[in-house]
Amino acid sequence: MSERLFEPFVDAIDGTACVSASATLAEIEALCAPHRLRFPLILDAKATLRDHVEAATHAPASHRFGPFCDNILGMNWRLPSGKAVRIGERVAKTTTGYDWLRFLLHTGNRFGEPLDYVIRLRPDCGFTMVAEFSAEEMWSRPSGRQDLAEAPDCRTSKSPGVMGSTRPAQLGGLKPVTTSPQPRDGLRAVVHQLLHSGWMHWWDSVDYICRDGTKHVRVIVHTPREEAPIFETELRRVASSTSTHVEVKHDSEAPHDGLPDATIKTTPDRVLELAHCFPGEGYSRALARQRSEDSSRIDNVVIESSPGGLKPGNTLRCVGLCYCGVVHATGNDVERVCNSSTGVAGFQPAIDELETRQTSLRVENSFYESAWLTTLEQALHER
Amino acid sequence: MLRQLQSLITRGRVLTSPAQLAGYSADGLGYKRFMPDAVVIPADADELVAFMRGAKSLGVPVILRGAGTSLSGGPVAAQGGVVVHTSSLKRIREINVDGFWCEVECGVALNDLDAALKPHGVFYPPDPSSGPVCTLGGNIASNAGGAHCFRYGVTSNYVLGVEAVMLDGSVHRFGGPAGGHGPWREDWKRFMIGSEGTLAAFTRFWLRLLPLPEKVWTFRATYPDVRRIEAAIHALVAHPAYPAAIEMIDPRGVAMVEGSQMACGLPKGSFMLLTEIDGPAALVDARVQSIAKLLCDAGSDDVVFSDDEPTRMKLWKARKAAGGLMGQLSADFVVQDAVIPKRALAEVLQLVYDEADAAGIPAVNIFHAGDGNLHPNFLFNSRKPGDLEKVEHISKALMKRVIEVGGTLSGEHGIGNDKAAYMPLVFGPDSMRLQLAVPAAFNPAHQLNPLKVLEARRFVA
Repeated sequence: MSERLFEPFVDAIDGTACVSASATLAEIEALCAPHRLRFPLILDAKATLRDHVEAATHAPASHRFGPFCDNILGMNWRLPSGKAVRIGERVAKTTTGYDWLRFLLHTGNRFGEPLDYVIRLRPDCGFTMVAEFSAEEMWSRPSGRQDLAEAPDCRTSKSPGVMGSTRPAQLGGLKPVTTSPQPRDGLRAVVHQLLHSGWMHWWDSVDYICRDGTKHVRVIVHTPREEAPIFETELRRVASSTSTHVEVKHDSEAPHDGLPDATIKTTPDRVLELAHCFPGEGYSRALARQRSEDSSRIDNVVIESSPGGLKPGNTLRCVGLCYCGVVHATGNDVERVCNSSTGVAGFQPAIDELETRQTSLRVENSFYESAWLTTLEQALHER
Repeated sequence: MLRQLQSLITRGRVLTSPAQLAGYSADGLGYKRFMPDAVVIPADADELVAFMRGAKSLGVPVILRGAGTSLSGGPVAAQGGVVVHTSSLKRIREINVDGFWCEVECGVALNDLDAALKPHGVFYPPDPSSGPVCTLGGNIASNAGGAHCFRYGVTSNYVLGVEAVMLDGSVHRFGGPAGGHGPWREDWKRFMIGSEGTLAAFTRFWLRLLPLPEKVWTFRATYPDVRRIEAAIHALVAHPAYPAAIEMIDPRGVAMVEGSQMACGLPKGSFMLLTEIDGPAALVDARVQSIAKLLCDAGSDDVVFSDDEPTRMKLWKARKAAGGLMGQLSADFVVQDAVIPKRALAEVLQLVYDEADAAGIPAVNIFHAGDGNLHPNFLFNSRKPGDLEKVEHISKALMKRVIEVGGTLSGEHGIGNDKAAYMPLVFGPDSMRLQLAVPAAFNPAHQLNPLKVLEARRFVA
């Protein structure tokens, strides 16, 4: 049979649509609105969906709906040979074949380029509420690995003769359960309460925002208007129980943070510390080091930079997507940021320790990765 | 080979007697049996690594197997060889409540993980019905789904990292608690998830967790015809309450339940819809009446709902009983697993009935309607000449139509050896080349689980 490709469509029953990769999010919004559907993963309405996918793996609404790779179901993809192939499906569930979709999605143009995306849409409830929590609180330097490295069974050992391999260490005794004492006050407590209850599923996003030394927690709620009071009651309860102040804006536009200049991926429990490192004291040596080595990730804390690099002239701003474990940074003053010995650089020991614990040796990785890539690239380039 | 196996597996077990091997000759697909040459049960991950390092020299296929509950002919020795049973790797290594992740070994049973997580107020959402026995290794190898995937998604949405052992014994971690790439340039775990044991052996995983919903309401409604239940499904899918599950049983399934000891008073000839909403009590309690009204408005005069746990379980009774009853009704049955755009639901169901009736093969539909994930069950007798061929003919007609309406071959069971022949319906020559490139990169001789996923994957020693 010949290659099947996706044709443009909007399926209002399934809540799916096939859109051009160069469609802006505003255009997608206009396409979906008549069907009372929305594509919630928006960072910048004027940017194309391809720009979004290249700049970030997550958007604020990934809190509720997952990353881009869970909301893009299929693609028409132009191979390096120039041929177009269909990758993925137009239905939300598939176990048909190897998952090229998620593999290719965030690879930029290393293996070709997207022509069209099949996206998953969600019901548009027609009402958005934005709550902002603020508080006075003191921050201390993160202590890094405290809660991760204590588990005795989580060591990484190297097996002689198999360079850089890791083996599961033997576990004795009980399985470790890691929890911290629940914070009682302040924004940390707000985030804890918003995430650690059944309400967590119903916030569109819970974001920790730092800018110019100020910080707040932003919660976006998208719900039928008649349910808004139920959400507001819960938001005010959280504020009351955490000694914080909350301002709730009804029938608001969901704010768009813009495409990030840099993205750091960590675990949800580390987002606040990491986000807090950015605005006051600059980015990081870690980031600088990674960029100079053209290696975009540090193990458990993943650092990525947008194709355009840091934008000059902007104010440094940081958005922590709390449940997603993602920090988006938009910044200026690149030199200060990259040379800063404080800020995220203070997080560096934690990054290093995580790296030691969680990964195989890079030498071996590059050896294997080169071999695997060679095979895949042969298939991708074949005419 | 026995001596070689015994030198590789010194602390675990090596099984070779026909009686022992018979238990590994099939998976949940049942009627397709392939006797392995041997079964090994490594004592732990170290021994699994040692086995994989020596596996090449065995010169036979290697088939990784968890609990063997696959429904697609996945973890079976279709080309002979050694089955590696990973049941000993069953430790839950860490539960990180603050970070919403856990680290588990591949042989942990799904429901054991659920039980361990529950006291901490978190859960791992994928819920295939084989939960009491199926292993996370099998779940991740087949990208398992379940009844609550409509809202919560499938296994691939929750896998943060995979530790994989290649056939040279090298061990690699793709991702980890943060769910990134680790030190790799590319996100290799994406190929591992759903790879059906064809790329590597898995030892452990890092999985994403969610807070437990506070309260659940379950609804059961019956409808006199497919058009009305289809309308109810379409309305539920668009409802802002985002039901966690939308399940359907057709009149043949209802009749089967009502004719059994599991009868629960469903009207004869009706289509049954089961749906569930969950969340904070204040929120879900406010949504109950609107869901009930939606179900009535679509054409049901028989809507029952409850938030009481025993009553809810009774509402689920028909759905849960139906799967088990198949085995009582028929010597053999095949559960198909296609996914279609939901607008084609009635049409494709009719095709199933027409084809099955014409062939004289009973067909029962019990499936995840919210996802458009059909599970037609074809009941037959594999010892009756011609029956199996009839089922295969119906399956092929079904899959052809599924692809024509924009669907896909499998939603949660995987391809295994049951559906490998249908893959050219989905993939053209260029995309098939990409599919073949993945095992070519990780397992070029196809020694791991040959004849699965793609028919061309045959091991040549």
